[in-house]
Amino acid sequence: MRRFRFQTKLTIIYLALFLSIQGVLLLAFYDTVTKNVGEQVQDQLAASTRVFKQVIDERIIALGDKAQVLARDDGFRSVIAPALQSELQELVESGTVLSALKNFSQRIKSDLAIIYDLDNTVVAVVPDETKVSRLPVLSDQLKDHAETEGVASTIVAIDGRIYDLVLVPVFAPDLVAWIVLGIEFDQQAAEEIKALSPIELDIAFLYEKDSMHELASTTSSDWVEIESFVRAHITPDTQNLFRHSFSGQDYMFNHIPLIERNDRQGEISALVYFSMDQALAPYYALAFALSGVLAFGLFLLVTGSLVISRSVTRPLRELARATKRIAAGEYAEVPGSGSGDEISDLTSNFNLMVEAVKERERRIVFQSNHDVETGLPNRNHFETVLKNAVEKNNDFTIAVAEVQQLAALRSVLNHIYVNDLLKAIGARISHSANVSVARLSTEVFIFILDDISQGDVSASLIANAFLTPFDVKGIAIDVSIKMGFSKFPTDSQDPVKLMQYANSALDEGRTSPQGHAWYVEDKTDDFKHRLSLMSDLREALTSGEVNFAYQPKLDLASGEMSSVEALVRWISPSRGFVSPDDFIPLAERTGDIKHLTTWALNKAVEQLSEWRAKGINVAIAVNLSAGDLLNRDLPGAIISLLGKHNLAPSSLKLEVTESAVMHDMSRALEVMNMLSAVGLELSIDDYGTGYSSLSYLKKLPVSELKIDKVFVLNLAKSDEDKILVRSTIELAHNLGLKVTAEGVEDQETVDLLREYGCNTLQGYFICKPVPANEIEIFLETQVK
Amino acid sequence: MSRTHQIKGLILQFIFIVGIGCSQVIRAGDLSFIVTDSKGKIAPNAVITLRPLIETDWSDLPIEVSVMKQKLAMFTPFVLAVRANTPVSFPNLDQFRHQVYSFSKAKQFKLRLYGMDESKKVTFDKAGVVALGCNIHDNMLAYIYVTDNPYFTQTNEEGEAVLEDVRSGEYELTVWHPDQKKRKVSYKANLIVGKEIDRHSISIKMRSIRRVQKLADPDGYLG
Repeated sequence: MRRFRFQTKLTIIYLALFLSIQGVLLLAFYDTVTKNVGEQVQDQLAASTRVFKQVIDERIIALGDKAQVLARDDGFRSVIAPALQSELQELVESGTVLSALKNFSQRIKSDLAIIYDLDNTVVAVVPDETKVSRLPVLSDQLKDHAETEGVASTIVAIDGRIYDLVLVPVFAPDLVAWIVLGIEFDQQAAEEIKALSPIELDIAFLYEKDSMHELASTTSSDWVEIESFVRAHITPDTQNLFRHSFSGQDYMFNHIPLIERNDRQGEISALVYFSMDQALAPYYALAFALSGVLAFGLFLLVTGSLVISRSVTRPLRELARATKRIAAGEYAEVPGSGSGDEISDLTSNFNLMVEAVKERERRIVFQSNHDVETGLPNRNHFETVLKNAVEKNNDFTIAVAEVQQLAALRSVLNHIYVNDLLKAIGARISHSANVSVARLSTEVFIFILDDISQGDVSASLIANAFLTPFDVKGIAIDVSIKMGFSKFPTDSQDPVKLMQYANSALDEGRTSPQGHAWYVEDKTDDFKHRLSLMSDLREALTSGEVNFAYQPKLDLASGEMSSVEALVRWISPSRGFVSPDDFIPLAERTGDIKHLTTWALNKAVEQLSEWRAKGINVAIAVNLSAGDLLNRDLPGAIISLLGKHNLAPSSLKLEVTESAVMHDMSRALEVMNMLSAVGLELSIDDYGTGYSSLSYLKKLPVSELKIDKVFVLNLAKSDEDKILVRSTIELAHNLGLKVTAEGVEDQETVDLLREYGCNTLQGYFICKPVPANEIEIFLETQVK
Repeated sequence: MSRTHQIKGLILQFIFIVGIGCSQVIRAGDLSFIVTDSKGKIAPNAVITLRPLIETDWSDLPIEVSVMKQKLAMFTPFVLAVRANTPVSFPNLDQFRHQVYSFSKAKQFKLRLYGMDESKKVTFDKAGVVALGCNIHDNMLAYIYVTDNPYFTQTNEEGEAVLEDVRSGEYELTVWHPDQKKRKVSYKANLIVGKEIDRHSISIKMRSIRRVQKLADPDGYLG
């Protein structure tokens, strides 16, 4: 359905109203006029008919008078009377009579003159008898009337002509003859009558022949047309007044019988007719004027309604356009009409609203682009900046900088100070590298270095800047950051990938000596590869591709293998051997580590149960990830698992790395305390590579410290390592912790560690990680 | 009525009585007639004549002057029957003039204008009907029936007529009336006087319109 605009609607409604009113008026006008004209024409025709009859009467009277004059004429009588009384009248006198009649007929201009004797014999006729084939037969009634009244009249049709006849008796002084005079109803007569009418009517004289009306004469110019109309439409029964179309127009007819049909002859009548269209013609001018007024009114109305509706719709359209502009983000003020009407109110309110929306949007945009805590641009904002940079297509470098140990800092500073610290960190990076810094996540900042070659320099500058401690509310705080870089367009042209690559570079940077790393393509699997690795891992966990290899731990005091560390081994049919270094950090990041831990705990407990059944009494140590340490349900799950297999908590040992604990220390501590509380022993794994703070080590509910193999592998050769290991063992012992050394690969190292008082040894020198069945054999040989 | 009129009336009366007295002398047979129209209505002014079928000499019959008066712009009598060669005088008893005329074949004449107490005389020598008119007064109409026959009479206001002293013999009876339908005579029959009955009822066909001499302007001329 088509929808009309207000302006169109208004115009249409006005137009419809105007037209319907005008239509009613015009109809009324038309109806009145046509009715009036019809009545007028009827009246005029009736009047014309009266005139008509009067004219005929006068003609007859005049003719009668003339006839009477003749009848009384002495000379005429002196001729006719003896002639008609003579036995030889024709022979003697007819010539005289005829010449007298001719003379008289010419004098009075009659169209027909006849003298009858008393026996109805024609004595003389003018015009010549041969020209008139059928002379009127005089009825006795007519004669009686003529004799008593002196004159009688009738109308007859002779040879297609209609005559007014008067009959006059000739008294000499006795009745001796009859004179008949006739005047034809010819075109001239009709024209004369027509001339007397005030309207331009037409007249036709009709006679009936063989029951059909025929035309004798007419004022109409088209004889054939009126003749055929008469033949078709006129009968003696035709009513006086009637309307009929004629000559392509609407005509009013008046059919006036002059002589009714009798046994001697048919009806003789006159037809008076007038064109209604002609009667209406004077009104055409009026109608034309009226149409002009109507058209002008129409024009005024359309213009007026357009003006009015425009005065309403123009501001509305202005507003509509403004809303469209606002939708497009353009907040332009709508100029008010100032007319003080509702529309101008609407306009000013609209402008107020626009102002409010503009302000709100500005805030929202700011918030969406800035970090609430620090007021720095956020990830969202940075993505836009990055996108623009990519579009500019100049070489640049993306750098991510991760604040180290932020969780630990949070635990000592309240959150406002942390925010201040973060702001200061952002500002320092910004100053030192002269860049605009955005906050990517809680502890990660991101920025763009326009100069690719300056990446390392900038990194050094920033690192140096961080050598100076931060001053937060009088507290000096050391902060270190790690960085990762990726390059545009060398590494990728996709902003998302660039950020991802910078993050992977950060992963590298965390462990690199410089504290930063560049993205290297082949070191990081691409996203798809990693996703498929994780899904393969999930399958592998159920299909048995993943298994444990067990590495015994030698207790130096007893010389027994009191426990074994369960190490994950994944041998994929498609990938071959997959290093734990490849999939464990990834699983930690993707969250798949949960599945691995669940599998590991179940597997370890099953193995313990199996070994107990075989009488092998050895504990199994399982590694937990940082994620596991956030899971409060873990202690309960482990206990119920042990309980199900009827195993003591002491048979299962749990190892966690320093960094896993540090990730969210308070939460991790909570979980660790719960684990410890139910009797599970915890060890710190890979000690010395991470934060290595003895101060908090004290708080941890751990019973064992495992010195990382980097300190042990070269122990025999490195004096530095000797000092580190020795002091660490002493320190641990002082804290009441047992110490295990990892990576023991030669006898010399064994001897040194024994000297230092290390409790347990683990390494290839003791035994490499082997499958369960081999452990069983190993343990048996050890016992022997 | 003036004294002169009275005297004239007396003279006429005298002539009439003398006439009757004379006819009584040669009395032969009396015939009486009653004339009606076809509807049985009595017809005054019908002229009845008898023509003897056997040729006889009637020359001894006296010829008397007849009178057609013009009085009050009317002819009196309306119908006057006379034997041929009878002179008829036209005395004008009105105070104005008349111009009596006839276009009839039997006798055409026109009396020049004549005034009061003037009398014109016309002798009607040919048998036939003479219609009289006055050129001055159109209403005036009278008929003089001129006959060659020895016996003639005319019906009075009661439609009755009498012929006295008719000699015995065979006659042709004719009846004429100004309003008759036929042109010449309206009735014709043979009769034998002396043998047949003397009373005759005659019915004639008449026109619907009667020729009458209208009174011209009753208030009029005479004052």
